[in-house]
Amino acid sequence: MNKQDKIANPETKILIEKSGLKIKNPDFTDMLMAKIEAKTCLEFSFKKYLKLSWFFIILSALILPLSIDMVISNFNTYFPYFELYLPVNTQSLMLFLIVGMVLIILFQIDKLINMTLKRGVLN
Amino acid sequence: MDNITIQKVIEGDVNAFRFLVDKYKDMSFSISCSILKNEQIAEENVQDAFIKAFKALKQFKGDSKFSTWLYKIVVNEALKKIKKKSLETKEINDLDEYKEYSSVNDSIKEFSLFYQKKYINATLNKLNEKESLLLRLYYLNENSIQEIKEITNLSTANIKVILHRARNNFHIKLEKELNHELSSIL
Repeated sequence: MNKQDKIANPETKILIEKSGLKIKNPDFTDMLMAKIEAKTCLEFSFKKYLKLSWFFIILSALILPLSIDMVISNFNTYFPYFELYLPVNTQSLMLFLIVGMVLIILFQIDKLINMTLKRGVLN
Repeated sequence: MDNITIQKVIEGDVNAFRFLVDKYKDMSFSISCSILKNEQIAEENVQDAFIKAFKALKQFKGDSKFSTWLYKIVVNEALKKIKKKSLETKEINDLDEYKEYSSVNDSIKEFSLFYQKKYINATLNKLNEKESLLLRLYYLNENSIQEIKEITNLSTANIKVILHRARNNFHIKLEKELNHELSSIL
């Protein structure tokens, strides 16, 4: 018996052919497809919301500096006695606000970059 | 047929994937059982592998058969589960002699098909994961050595050696199983 005959051994083939197993769960395919469809829907809405999030973050990053600048320039005109009730002056208060908002925007951008790179919930 | 279905799935027809699941789930399950030796975990593994295949379907270039590509995912997922859960697998390395198998074949014919299947699968479960996997791929799914190489990442020489050893181990173990069963009946 040569080596190839030994590998293609018909005796073994007859036996192993009887070893085929079947998944016992009759709903296996339905369950799997439901899972895949749910994940696909989730993935679709995830991508949609990701796009919207990018749009709003860019919009707020553009609008925020303009609105802060507007508020700072007009603050003393509209609220001339405001500084009397605060331990800090309005310039310092605005600086804190700007730093806080910039940090929040940067944090959100970082989260969005991570989510975009992971490319969805299926991964 | 597979390629048409794959194209449909890529174009957004998620339900077309059902055809591929129905076609390959049982062989994927047999492969998973060979490695994991546990039907429940094997079923989970098949599910995970199909989800992974669905996600990666766009990356399937059609260089090999879809089944070869899918079974490679099934094998990799099963190996990951073994690593994760440290499942117990039994190594049998002391049965390397070659022998004729006709006596085993004659003995098993005495049993009904149900029991034949039961003893054959019990014996395959006693082999280590590589041996049982290669036997099923080569003799049950009729994969070529080249396809087995792609699925398992083993070298051709290694596959031949393991197949040779697996066959011997399988027949010796099966004979023991049958003798034990016959003696318990008598």
